[in-house]
Amino acid sequence: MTSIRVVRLLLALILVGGGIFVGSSRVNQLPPLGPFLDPANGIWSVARAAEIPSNAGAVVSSLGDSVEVLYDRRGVPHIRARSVDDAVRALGFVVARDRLFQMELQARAAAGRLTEWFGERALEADRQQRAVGMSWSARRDMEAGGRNSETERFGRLYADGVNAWLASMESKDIPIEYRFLGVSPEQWEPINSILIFKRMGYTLSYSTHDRRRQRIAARIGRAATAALFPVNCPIQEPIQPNERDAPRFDFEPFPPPPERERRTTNEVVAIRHEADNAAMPLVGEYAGHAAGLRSGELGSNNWAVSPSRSATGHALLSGDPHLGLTLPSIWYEVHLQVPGEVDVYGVTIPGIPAVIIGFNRDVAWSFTNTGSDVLDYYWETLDSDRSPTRYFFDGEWRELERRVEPFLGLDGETIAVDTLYSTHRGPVIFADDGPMSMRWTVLEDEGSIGAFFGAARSQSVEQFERAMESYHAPAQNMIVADRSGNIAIRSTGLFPIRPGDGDGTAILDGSRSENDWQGYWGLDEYPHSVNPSQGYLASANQQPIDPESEGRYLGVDWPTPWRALRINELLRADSTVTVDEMIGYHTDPRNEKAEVFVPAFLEAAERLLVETPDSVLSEAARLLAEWDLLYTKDNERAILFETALERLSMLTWDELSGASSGRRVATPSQTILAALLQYPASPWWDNGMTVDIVETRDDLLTESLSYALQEVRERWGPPDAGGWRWSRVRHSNIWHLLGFPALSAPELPVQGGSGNLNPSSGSGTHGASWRMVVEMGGEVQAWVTYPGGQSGNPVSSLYQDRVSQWVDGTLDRVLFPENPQRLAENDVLGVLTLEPGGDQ
Amino acid sequence: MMRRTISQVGLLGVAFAVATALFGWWAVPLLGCLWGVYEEARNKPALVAALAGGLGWLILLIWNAVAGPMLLLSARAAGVLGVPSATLVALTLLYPMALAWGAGIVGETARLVFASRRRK
Repeated sequence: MTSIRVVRLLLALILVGGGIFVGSSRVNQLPPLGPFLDPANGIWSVARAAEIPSNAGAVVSSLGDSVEVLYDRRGVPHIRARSVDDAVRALGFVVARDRLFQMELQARAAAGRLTEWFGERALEADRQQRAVGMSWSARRDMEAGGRNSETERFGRLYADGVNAWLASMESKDIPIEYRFLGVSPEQWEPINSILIFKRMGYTLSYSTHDRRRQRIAARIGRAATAALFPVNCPIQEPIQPNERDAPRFDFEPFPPPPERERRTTNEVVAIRHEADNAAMPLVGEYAGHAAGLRSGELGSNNWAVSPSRSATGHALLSGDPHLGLTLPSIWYEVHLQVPGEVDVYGVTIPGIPAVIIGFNRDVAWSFTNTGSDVLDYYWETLDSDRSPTRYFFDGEWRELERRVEPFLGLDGETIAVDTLYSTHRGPVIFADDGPMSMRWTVLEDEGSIGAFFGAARSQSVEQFERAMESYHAPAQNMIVADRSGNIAIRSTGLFPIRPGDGDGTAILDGSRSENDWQGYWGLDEYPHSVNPSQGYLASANQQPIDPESEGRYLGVDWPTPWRALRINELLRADSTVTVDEMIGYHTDPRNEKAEVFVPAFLEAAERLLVETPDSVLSEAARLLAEWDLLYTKDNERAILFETALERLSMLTWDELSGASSGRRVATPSQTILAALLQYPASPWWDNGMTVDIVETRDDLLTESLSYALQEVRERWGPPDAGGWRWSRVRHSNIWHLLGFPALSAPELPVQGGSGNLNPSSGSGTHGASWRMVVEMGGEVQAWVTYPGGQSGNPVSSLYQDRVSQWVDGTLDRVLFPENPQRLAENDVLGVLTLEPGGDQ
Repeated sequence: MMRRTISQVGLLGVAFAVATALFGWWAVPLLGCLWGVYEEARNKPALVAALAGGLGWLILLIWNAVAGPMLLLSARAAGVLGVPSATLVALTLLYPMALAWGAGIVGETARLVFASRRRK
């Protein structure tokens, strides 16, 4: 063999060997290139699955009868089955067909199994999910429910449908994300539905406020903590109308802050420097809170109008839940029809076998999060710090439940093993200040999914509320309207009865049974209102009951009521509400917090300018006075106000900052700041960052306003030059579930800001996740949209087709045919026929 | 000679496309190697295999483009990977070419070695 041949052979061997290696192995974060690039079966094949085929068929072995699914032009499947069981199987099939990756990702996230896809990077997130007991309680629910519970039954039927899709799909149908990760879809288990539902409970009701409160109290004392983070919201516009004047401002004097050590000038300079550096992280903290810790800046809206106050004389209902914005969206729109049994339209969460929010021919409903306190922590005494086996309870040692949780890596190897413990209350958490057990209603929920089918079948407000009696967690403000013109709202879920005065803000001693929950509120005790004389109902996550009507503890640290104030103001002012107005309310640009704070800024500036000329303050006040208090996209003043308010909050709550840094342990609600405005000389206004000066309210208001002008000028240019336009400074960002920018819809201009009915704050990753208006006339009509599209395939025309509509605040009228087969030909995008058969 | 090579590349390209669709990407090195064993060295089997490998996957890419939004997919997938979309397309064509060429050389060498042993 010549040397050229040898070289050629060596080169060939290197190419083949290297090609096969990168073709079949993961290199860094790249998937194996062979199956990835394969144009017949790899990533390129996804193009062939972009659109819904005009005609398709599949076998779902467990079906009792054939099921026909018609996809309308918006990509909504209209499922017509002969039994509820078949409808649920078909639901599993069609949702998996469009959203398989999302379903599996969410189930894995809830189960704490993301490391199997992402390796060590996901270990902390997985540990958190396992530690709070998500998969532990889901397994317990499955075992307890056996084959008798509706939740388990629907989960099993749904899994049949999902797995039938998995069995029938071709390689082109494998979602693109699996290809980037280099993983394959897993068989769908019924427990996944429970996990995803619990994940929703985690998002909406997991809280560490008891622990945070401890840290706050350590810094400012118990009395000040109670005043700055009160059990009752100082601005009352309760969900449950009570014939009192609303809104009501319950502003009370604040106890003084604790004595502070006097700081030297050098210390102050150092702290100020650090505080300024911390300014952006503080914005980040704000965003972090927005993601869940401080639900006050986010939340949901729903409202209903009685026939007496609607233009057409029919009840109207609006649903506007706010959640994390992702592509694909958290929601999937569907119409389920079983003649004589169920005919329901609405949105489901991929992975959950139910229509969560929607309407049927008689009833429409929607939810907002109640935000009640449903999680308590208890100090535990364990027999060992390192490997405990028992906990001390009522004078004796009790066995801890122990479970070993392995975390698997990308290739199935074990990358970590955690030993977790539970007491009779729930999981034990090892915090810095000692072991605590937690009790949380989400871990005790067994039957909530089943309740939704009862709701889907209901024919009146009364039947709906009866159906939802078995709904447990996360607690929701369930608004409902029926075709007879009834409207109602009830905060529904498990609300713990606590010992003593019922307060749940403290961490109690876990060694005594007298500190345990003593049961749950009775159904007749739930906050509830039916056909109120005011002719409308509205909730926006505000405190459900006026504490002057019912003083029982339900929760703490309620979200700011700006949205509640605004929707009530709109509904109060209009006795002939139309559908178009209801749609417009979703993106109403007015914000009640501006009504409270703008006059305060302007009056303080006016008072100061009389005594001391200040060109910056004067200019800032002039610009702010020009503001129409609207958060429209082209508004050029809202940014000045927002910056001033943020600065005011930062300067005011310096007492909550660390002794050696500018970081706050927590930030009181804007309602507390509003209350503090009533006390101009309160010591809380004194800024600890200054030496030998005692600031008053007006000092901080004017300093914040001046600062805002300088800051906004610096960052966004001079006023009225286009740079201050709200659409430039505030965006919604709808990220793909894996955060891939190329598959996301970032930097969308929005009408609304923090506290608007269409809220947008922090990183802009939360907002209105589903908008729905339903008119309960002779024929039910509905208008809807959500920020995304039905398909999970990023190259489908239905992937993000609704985003621009969502940005504009318009809705689509839905097709809700009595018989989907009678849909007009040009309304039908595709037909899917599911047949029984195959291996039973 | 030229016509023969072109027709070989065309036919083998179709074979690569069909084999990839049926058996996945592993078909490329296998088919490349088999072609190297089958065809005489003077007919440059490795080069023909490389061109046919690229052609086979090009045919499949065209099939995807006819059946769906390939350009959009190319832009989005390349965006995720942080490369220009042309790079992803080029990689998709070069990868089978490299595999098929290398495998063709291996096959060709195996044929030569086998033939020389038979002669001995």
